[in-house]
Amino acid sequence: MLALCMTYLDAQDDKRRFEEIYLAYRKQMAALATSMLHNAEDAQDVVADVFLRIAQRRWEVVRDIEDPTDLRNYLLKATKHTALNKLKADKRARPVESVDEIDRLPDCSEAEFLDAVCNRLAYREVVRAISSLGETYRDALYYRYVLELSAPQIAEELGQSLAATKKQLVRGKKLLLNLLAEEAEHHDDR
Amino acid sequence: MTTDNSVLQNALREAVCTEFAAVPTEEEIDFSFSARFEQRLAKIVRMQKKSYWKLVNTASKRVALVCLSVLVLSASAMSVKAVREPIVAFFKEICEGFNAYFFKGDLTETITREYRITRLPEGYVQTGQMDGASLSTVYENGEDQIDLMQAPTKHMGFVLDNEHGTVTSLSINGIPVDLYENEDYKIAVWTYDGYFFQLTCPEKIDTATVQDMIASIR
Repeated sequence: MLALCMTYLDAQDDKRRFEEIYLAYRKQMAALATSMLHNAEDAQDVVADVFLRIAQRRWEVVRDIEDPTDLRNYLLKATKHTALNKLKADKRARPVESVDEIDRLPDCSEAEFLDAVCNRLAYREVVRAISSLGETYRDALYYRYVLELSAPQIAEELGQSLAATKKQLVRGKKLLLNLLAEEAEHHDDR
Repeated sequence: MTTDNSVLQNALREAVCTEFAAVPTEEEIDFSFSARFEQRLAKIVRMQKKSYWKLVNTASKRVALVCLSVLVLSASAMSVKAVREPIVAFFKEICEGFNAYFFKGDLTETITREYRITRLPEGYVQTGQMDGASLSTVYENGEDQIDLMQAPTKHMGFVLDNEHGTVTSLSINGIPVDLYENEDYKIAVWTYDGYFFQLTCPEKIDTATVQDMIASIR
């Protein structure tokens, strides 16, 4: 059951932390939302929605993000997704890659995937390949491997089904491996 | 052999940072939030500071959160003396995926009178009770469970999940009750005598029985 549950929270640290985060990032979030919605009032609604959602549903995730860069990325991603939703745009920003084509790419194990990404190419080539991934897949992989969220948590972050999220993770890995293979070919040509 | 995935982590982090590279730092932004926004967020921060709520998506916890209605007690409502009944009202924020509710009025801080269900569906008996800031009474029939939660309204906030279920507004003995239903549960919420009540039942219990249980609470 995906109903919200309520219990009492006692930790003083949590209370302080929530306020610190709010004060440290709200303007950046508002600026991002304004740039997307072109309306300051709607942008503020987006920021309020993101913080209310964090307070009510995401606190355990946000509280555990220690790296300030990851925290900023998380909050701006949440702002972006909420603003896109408000625009009723296709918030999943479909990648240009054909899903069928991705599905035809060979399967790989987690160990093979990590080995290919982490051990075979230079770091810059990996960054370049990730940057050219569709945002949908990049987001899913970021939540999975950097923030270390579970598939159900990622599904909730992205506002989509668990099945769709699992597919995105699989396709994102396949696509990244494919892009890395292309990088390797370019590298060899050079 | 396990692979250190720090290369992947750092590369993902860098790629995502690039996405937001154009967003200035907090100090560089001259953005004035409206009074309405400040008021709304102050409320959220205050709630979190008081930390009387924490909301998680935990399937194992059967205490689902839902919404609440304005309650103006009548003398006939339930079986409480009509001397000067506390009146509690709510106001709400409608957000994407849920509505948040807050209380106003004669809010209670502690439980000074405990309520129980006096008419249970056949086969159910009281099997447990948990005291804390709220009071949770559990009834079981060997297969399913019914929970009645009674909580003071001061420092309380509630949310209605408006994505994964339906809500119907009912009136039971003159008391507005909101009934949330999803594929697993029926959850009724209302205020009475200054307290917040939440009744959680298996979905298979019909609405008339839920209403009868609520009407029997003493």
